[in-house]
Amino acid sequence: MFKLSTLALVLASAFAAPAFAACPDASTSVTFGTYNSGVTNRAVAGTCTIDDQILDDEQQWGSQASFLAHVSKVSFDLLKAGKISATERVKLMAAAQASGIGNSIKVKLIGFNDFHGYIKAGEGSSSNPGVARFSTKIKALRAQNSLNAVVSAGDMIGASPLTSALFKDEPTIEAMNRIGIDFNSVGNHEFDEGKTELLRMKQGGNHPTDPFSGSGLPQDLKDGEFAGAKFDFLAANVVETESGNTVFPAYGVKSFLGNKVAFIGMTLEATPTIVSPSGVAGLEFRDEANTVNALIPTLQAQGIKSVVVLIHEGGFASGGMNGCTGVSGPIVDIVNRLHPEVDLVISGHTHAAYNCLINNSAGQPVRVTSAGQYGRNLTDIDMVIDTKTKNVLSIAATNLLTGTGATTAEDPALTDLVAHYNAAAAVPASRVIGKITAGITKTNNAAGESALGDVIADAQLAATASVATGGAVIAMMNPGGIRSDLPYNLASAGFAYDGAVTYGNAFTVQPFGNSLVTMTLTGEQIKTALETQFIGCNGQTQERILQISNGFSYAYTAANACNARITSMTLNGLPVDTAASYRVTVNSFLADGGDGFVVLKNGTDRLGGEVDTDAFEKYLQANPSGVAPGPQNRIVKN
Amino acid sequence: MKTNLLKPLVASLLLVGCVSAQAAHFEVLGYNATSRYSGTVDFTDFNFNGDYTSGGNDFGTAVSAIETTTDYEHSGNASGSFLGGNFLDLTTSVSFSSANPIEYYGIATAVEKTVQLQVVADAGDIGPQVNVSFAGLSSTFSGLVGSSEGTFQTSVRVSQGSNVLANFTTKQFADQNVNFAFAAQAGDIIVLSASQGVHMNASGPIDASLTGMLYGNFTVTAVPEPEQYAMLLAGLGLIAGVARRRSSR
Repeated sequence: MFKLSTLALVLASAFAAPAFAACPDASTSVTFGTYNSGVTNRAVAGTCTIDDQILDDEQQWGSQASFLAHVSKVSFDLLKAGKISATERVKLMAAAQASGIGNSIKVKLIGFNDFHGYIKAGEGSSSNPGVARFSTKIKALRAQNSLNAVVSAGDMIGASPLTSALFKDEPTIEAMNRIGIDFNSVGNHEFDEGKTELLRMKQGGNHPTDPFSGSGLPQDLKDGEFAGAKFDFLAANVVETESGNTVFPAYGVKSFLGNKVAFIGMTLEATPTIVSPSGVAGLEFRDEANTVNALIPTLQAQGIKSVVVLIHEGGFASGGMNGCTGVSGPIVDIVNRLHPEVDLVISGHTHAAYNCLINNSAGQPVRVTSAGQYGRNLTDIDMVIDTKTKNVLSIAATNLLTGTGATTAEDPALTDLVAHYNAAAAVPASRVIGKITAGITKTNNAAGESALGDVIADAQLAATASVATGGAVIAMMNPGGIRSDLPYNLASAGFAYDGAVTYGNAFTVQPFGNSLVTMTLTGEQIKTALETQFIGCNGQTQERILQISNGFSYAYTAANACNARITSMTLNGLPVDTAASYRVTVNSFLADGGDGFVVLKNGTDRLGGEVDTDAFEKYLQANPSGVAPGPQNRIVKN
Repeated sequence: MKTNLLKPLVASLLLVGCVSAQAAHFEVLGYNATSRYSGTVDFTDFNFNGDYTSGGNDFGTAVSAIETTTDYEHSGNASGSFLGGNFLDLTTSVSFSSANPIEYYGIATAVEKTVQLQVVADAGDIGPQVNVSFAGLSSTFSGLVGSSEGTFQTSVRVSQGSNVLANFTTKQFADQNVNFAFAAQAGDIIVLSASQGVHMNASGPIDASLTGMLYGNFTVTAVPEPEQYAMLLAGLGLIAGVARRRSSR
């Protein structure tokens, strides 16, 4: 590929009528970059001067040889045409050589992470710029340098707002296709619906059962179905255990005028602990740094010495979006262990924006960036590559704001796509499914209990309490599955009545489409599940306080040791008997042992139930006078 | 029955694709080049030796030198490059000007020698056979006037071991197309040698120059082997046969 493009470029400059960007160039002598050839600049083609005609030194050259070849041909033609003397041509050749033009190229990389399908401006958050503004900003950056790549460090899809999620995130893939991004490393959320669905995101084709799949505009579809991603997903550390092959390419290579840059993509090693285990069955998620380091010899064998890591794992830092004060988190250890051949790390997962230098395994500082979340930021990176050695000479990175409202115009190339899906989602999204008496938030109290968590757990219990639906007495909901607050909609704002809850609202709260599973657990297993809520206990990687249904209550002492924190558990006022059996409802994610709750995999007599949003809708309908915010009094922290 | 039909059908379709154009390419294994300019003005010698750069798929060598005094000015340039594993570019030049009766002799040579190339088949190629063609232009600009005289020579040679696969040499001043072709096999290691040299004698007072250049590119194309053509025809024949049988029902 690159050979063709290089050739085309050389031939174009050699044989085609030169396109003069700015005739005449006013400089008095012909200069190459800042190097003065000593040849008097003068008109040689109409008003166009030698400087205009010969140089093209503003454009980039993939090697000094290619620039010299260009200057030699153009100057030879000028010589033959009697426009310059033989000595002047030699001066031009000498200056072209001395100028160093072509010895290095500057490549612009545009990085982002954790986009999460935020294609519609204002959806989910008023500070969501929407993909059309995102595209405008990317186009503006690309206009600065035709040698560019747009890359994503994971979670482009998954946990997304309704406009994308209702259509299985196909809208986001189509939007990114239109923008023309180059690579997306997989993140944990890419695996939300499992490997098979993720492969469909790349390969295309409609979802086997979802009626909203394949709803795109004709130009975004292929053979009338979802077309799949035109860019590559990268997953160097996600390996099929049986075959040893990676699910997606480990790395992608983009050539800039013959200078190759490798992008190694990966998700965090801990991905299986935060996604539904059935979706990643048969897959192995390997150590991030070891995976990168093992690939370096492969890249070097191809003469590739410019290496970028796109990693869906990150850290935290203060000091603003370009700050790096007190950087911490898993990314620090990963970068500390990286091979010195890695030149740049574009990270994600923590939804933080930072711009860091972290030492690699050789103690040399490596640029490490992260661009916040939801398309609000982009990282503008200039990478200078030595065209002889192919090594990276320098990297400069700046996190930018995408800009909302009038700050950044919407790219008309994307607005029709967003409008199309917005319209297609409008009817299902605006359907009123019930009433609440006040806004219900997912904000936790000190014990880790939220009003919305209570309500969702109650809805799950209600949907599975009857003998026919499972006979559940307890429901438990993972906090990470509650993605947003339930707003209090007003009639004055155009809603059916005050407190009307739309399907869109409910979907935004629970976008994953998990179904309910009722299982039998012993009191001991319930206790183990609750103990597993705390970091470092039973393999838990972060604190995750499960939201629980009415009638169930427990107390914990955070300062106690692992498996000794739960000090009491009661059900309808009676102590939970550790030896007795209880019917417990969780969603399919938890039932698979998701979020580290491995004990839930041991639940017996499983009965599958409704999709979570359907259960929630029925619960609202069963309470026509309105559901009130949960009491947040079920979990007691001591 | 269906699967039996499918195989020749797929094979023949694949081959139809192959016959039209298959990519293959050169990979540069090694490179050695020089460029040189030397001049003599009234028995004072000047020598300039070029340097070459290497790395990736692009190579270049160049030297340019100018000497200007109150009595004369002379300059020379010799540069060559092999770009992207397929594009050859050579340029040479000498010039001399003086209002005084000064003797000048200049010589510039641009040599890309022993560019060692390996023919590499790309994914999807069927068979090791490739055709290689070169298309380019040799051109000079003669500023030979008065008492000056000079020559130039351009040559391009491709060899495999002691076997010369292609050879082009010219001393002609007028523009000349350079075209040659040869067959090779994937895995073959071949050596490209290309050079251009200019020399000029001049006696002042004079303003004379001689400049030459050559550029062109190699195209490497994979070709199906004869038995694959046969398979193609067999496949098409089978399809035709099936079609006839179907239509007779």
